[in-house]
Amino acid sequence: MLARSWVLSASLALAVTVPLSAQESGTSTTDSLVVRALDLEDSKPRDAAVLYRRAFSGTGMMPALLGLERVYTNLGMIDSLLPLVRSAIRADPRSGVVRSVQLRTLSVLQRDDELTAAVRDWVRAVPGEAAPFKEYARLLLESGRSAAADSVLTVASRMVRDPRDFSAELAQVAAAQRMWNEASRRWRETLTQTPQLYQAAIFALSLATGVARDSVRTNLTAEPVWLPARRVLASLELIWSQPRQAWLAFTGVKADAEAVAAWKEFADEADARGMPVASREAWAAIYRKTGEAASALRAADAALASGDAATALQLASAAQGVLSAPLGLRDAVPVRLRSLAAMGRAADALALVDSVRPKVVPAQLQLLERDLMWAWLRVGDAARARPLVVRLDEDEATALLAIYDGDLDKARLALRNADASNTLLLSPRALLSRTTLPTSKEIGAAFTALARRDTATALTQLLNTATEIGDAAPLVLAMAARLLTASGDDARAVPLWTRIVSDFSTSPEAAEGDLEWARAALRARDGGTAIARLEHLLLTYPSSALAPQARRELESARRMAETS
Amino acid sequence: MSAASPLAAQHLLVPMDDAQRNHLKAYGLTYSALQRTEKAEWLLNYRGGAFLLLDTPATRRRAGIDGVSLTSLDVGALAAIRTEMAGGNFDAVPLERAPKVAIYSPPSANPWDDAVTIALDYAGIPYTKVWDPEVIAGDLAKYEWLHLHHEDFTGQYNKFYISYRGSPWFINQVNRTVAQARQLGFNNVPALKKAVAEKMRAYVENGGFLFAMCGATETLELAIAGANVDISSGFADGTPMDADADQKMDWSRAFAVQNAHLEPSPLINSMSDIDGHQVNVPGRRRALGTFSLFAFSAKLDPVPTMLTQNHRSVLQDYYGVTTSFTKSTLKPGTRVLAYEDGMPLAKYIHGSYGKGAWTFLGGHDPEDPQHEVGAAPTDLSLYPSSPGYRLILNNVLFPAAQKKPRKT
Repeated sequence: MLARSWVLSASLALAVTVPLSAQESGTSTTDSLVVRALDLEDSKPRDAAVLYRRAFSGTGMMPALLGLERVYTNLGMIDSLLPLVRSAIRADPRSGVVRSVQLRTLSVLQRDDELTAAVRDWVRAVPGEAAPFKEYARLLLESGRSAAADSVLTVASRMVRDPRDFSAELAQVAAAQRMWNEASRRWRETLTQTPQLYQAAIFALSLATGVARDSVRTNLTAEPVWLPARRVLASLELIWSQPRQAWLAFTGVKADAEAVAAWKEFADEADARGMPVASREAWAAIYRKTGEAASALRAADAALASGDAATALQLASAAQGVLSAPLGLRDAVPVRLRSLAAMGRAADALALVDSVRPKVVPAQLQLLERDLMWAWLRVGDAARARPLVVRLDEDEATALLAIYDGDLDKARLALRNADASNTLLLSPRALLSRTTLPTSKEIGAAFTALARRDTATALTQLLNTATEIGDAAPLVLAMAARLLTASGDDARAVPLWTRIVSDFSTSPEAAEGDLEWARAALRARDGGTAIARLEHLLLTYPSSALAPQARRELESARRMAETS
Repeated sequence: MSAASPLAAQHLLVPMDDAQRNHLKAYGLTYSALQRTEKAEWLLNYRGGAFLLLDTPATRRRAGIDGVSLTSLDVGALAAIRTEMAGGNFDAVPLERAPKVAIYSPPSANPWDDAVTIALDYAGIPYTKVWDPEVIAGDLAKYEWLHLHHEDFTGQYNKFYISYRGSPWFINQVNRTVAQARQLGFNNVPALKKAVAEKMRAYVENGGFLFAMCGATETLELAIAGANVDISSGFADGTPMDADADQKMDWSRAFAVQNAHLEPSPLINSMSDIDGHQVNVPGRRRALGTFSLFAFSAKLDPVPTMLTQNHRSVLQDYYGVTTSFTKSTLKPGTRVLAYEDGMPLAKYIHGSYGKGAWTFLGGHDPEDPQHEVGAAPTDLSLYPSSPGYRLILNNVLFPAAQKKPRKT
């Protein structure tokens, strides 16, 4: 991985160097040879090599040499490059590019003694300069010899004019050796001189794991607050799947134009990584600083995606206040509507749609009514949803409405082509896959009550259903038990979990039953029962996905049993 | 095959190669079988150092709870394994009893953790903590296995006063230790720690097994060899180190080391040149690389073979106050179990002393290469197959093995 980053940087250097050289020399014969050779590199590498050899004899020695390095590598004849390199060094002993080609070639050929001699020769040619050591250390790192690279740089630090020249290489070495405290400290120093290396810093430090990340965080957030270091940390937190921490990396940064630019870059990165929590915070901060409606809407979208509908509504409303009326209708109203639907404020959603109904074209209205339909469905209002469901004829909506009606056969039919990612349909799908009942008023009533957040009714209906629903009984009991557990009613939840474990021991819910029973026991400070349930889970359902979690909780239960 | 006779009942094989899901808990499983006085065998070099246990409900139950992989063996399958082992570099060592384990650890919490305590807790192997009063009172004789970790037996608090003298935890540690020394009748902490080190030396001489890691290895050697020399700086005992301390050291009393040189400066965070990495001395510090375990002949060298059983032979190195051992300071009889690749350093060493044996493993935490003061302890549920932690647990089961004469 480390080696790849160096290869990448070398390729970029080539990509920049060669075309520029070609452009600068205009129509000269040598450069046209190089350009033709470049075109032939992939398809006819031997022909390209001939052209590069001709160019090497002319004025285009440098691009030709680099081209030959690529072509000979692909042809497996890199040793043919060495005579040319020697000739080029005689012509210009101080040329870093030629010397680098020589070192790379000798390294690929694994001629270690010649490589060392070449480094020494280069050092003699450019006394006090860092380049030979940097290139050598880079090659050692690429070959996984980080300790040797460290030794080279340590010696070199005493021989060059400015040891700070090695700061990036030392940072790479420290990262390669998993010395994350030193690596992050050195990367911070490196960025003060070469801020363009921040992607390399992110790549190197992203490999830190576990508690080592804390030392990275400490170094990158150390005083004084410095935006580039914070920007690096923010990206690292995204890579480490810590979106909240990612945004907090900017804490204390002065909100100036430079910071806003960094926030935008970060927000785009968070969006690309599918981390709306981080994106929401960044776009909201950008909006607060700039007042741009577009940023407010991006923040609102991210807020909705992160489950924060209230913030989304606030931001979308603010955006509408800034936008012109037509743009507000087009861009802000749909977000406001989705926010209201997500919050279960279906009546407010209806009011919003009614308020804009005369001002929008039919196609726009249909989109708004679709959101309104889901607002009614989300709150379990089948009567208000029904006309819209019939008119818009969407499979997912039809299925959910059928579930509310207790018409399980109709729901099955609609779900055949429905989008499987709709989270409102997860529980109905699970239930339908476990029962063959064509209809069930109790199930319809239970799901309707759940949508209305009427826990008491939902519980009653679920428990009534359990006796007649066959194979789905443990699923229904588990749904009821989860409701009770979530409301802290262990006294009523535990008998249900017990029933699942004892009466439906081969059901998919049985392992969960053991785990939740154990957790309830732990909450009651009953370590013995918790241990018994967790051990039962591990022994009875060893391949359950809950087994690793059960092992962790078993340790806690044992500690509790010991202390009590 | 030399030692083991076939057991009568059906057996369970606990593989310790990559087929094992939880290597560390497998040691606890084997230890628990020994606690129940069930016979067990350690199949050296076979499938990563597999264990052979009796097929009992208790073993199956614990394996299931701990997530340890098992394979049932009928008589035929076991015979096939024994035939295979007879023809190669394998041996079966009977494990006879669960050794009584003591960990030398302060009663108060320190801002660092102890890899052995973490390993034993995770594996479910019981142990007793002992500290200076118990050691001075002669309690070590109650145990077959003694572990030391981060303690500084020169009494200089690992020279942490250079960096942490203002930290509350360090001030508390100094106050506590000074009070303890006085309570036990010693003038200062170095005197107390030398007396403790001497008790430990005698414990091994009389047949005990001692396992030390990190700074305890180096400072124990210094305290034993410097029993009659002032090797502590003024911070610790009020007087500077004896200017001729190097010449006065009696290395004949030490376990592993000879002719080492003490670090005379109180302001350099190093004890001696025993440690090859010198992590806390910026100008001297060596970079981390890898270390490799030696392969020994199971039949001829069962003890080093036991200590090096692993499913990996090359391991990522990790720092500690003492990370490695300079080979030029090791006594000729010291067995190097693992060496630092490309460097004249040993990582893991072992030897016998009197009737007992000692093992030193450099470094602090095998899964945290640059463990720092105050860092959170390693959660081994995230590293259930840690090859570095296996080395620690090899040492715990080693005293359980039936003693038989060495063939070399």
